[in-house]
Amino acid sequence: MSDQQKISKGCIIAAFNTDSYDYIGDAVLAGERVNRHLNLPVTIITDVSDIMSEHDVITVPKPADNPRLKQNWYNMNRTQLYDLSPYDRTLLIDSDYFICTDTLSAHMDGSADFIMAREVYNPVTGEITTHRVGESALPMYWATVTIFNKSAEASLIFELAKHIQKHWEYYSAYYRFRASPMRNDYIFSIACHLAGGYGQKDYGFVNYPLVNCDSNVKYTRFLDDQLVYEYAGKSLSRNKLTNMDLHLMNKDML
Amino acid sequence: MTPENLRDAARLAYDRELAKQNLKTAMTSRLTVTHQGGVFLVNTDLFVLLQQSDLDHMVILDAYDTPVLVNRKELNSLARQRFQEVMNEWQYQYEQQVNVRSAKNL
Repeated sequence: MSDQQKISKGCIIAAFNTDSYDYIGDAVLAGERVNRHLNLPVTIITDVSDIMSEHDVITVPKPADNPRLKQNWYNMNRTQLYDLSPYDRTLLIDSDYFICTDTLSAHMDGSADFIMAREVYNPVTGEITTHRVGESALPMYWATVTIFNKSAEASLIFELAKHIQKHWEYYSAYYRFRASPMRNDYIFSIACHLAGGYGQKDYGFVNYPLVNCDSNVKYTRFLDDQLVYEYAGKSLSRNKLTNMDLHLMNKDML
Repeated sequence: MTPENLRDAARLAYDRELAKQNLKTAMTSRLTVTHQGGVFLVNTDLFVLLQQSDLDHMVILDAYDTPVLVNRKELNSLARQRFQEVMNEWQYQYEQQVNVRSAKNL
């Protein structure tokens, strides 16, 4: 058996319920999709120990509130997840990331120490683009889906991320973006920029754009790993997404 | 044709082309294989590279710019198999798409 086969692999999902939304429930369902399509074990990282699920659970204190759109949002433990992951090679996803294919298996079976979503597919325009961070226009990475090894390089990125989170006001001023709410995407974009020698290295997934179904996408039906959707404001325009992993950002439409 | 008919035809063309783009993005992202810890994009470049050599083993760059020692025949076989699987699925999905006459039938 090779070293590659001996390492432990799994998926972690961090989820903390708010007064109005069951993020843990989403994480359980997202984990089931990971089991089914990628055949990986799943660990949910949360503040509740007795959740109804077959997944492993690691209990941690609930992070500080980081309100968004006047709603509670407990998303600020992302920088701790390197230390908390029980796996040698970890797939880290958001609870609203719907794995519908086995496409990520190839990337999980690879050996790159740190990969994060950078390219974004827009299901309304059909374009693949890279978003930018504030006026500094750094390439934006999306913490929605990440793969990392327990390794010096990944450890450095997470340590940088902790530092940026701690000195958030400074970094938001330096890279010229709005400081509120605090965004993991921006924290990791800056961390990747620094860890990669001021942007010399690209940490983005290759050939795996993040399919962002945002507020311009009206979900009509999600069934059998297939999303039928309309483009907001255009009554005739309807399409479907199939054979794709989906970032379903409009929680109230599900 | 009335202006409304022309507008509807343009909108329909937009939907149709977007459906093709959705399918292309989905299928292209599946054209990936792993071999010896490297991630390789299954495309013409890879096939040409593998087929122009007569070595049993060779070092090539993977998708993340890591040099990987590969078994040429094994990787070629793996890539061909993946290519065929994805292209068959692509054609099947495409045929389904062209048979949809209205977006309302999705």
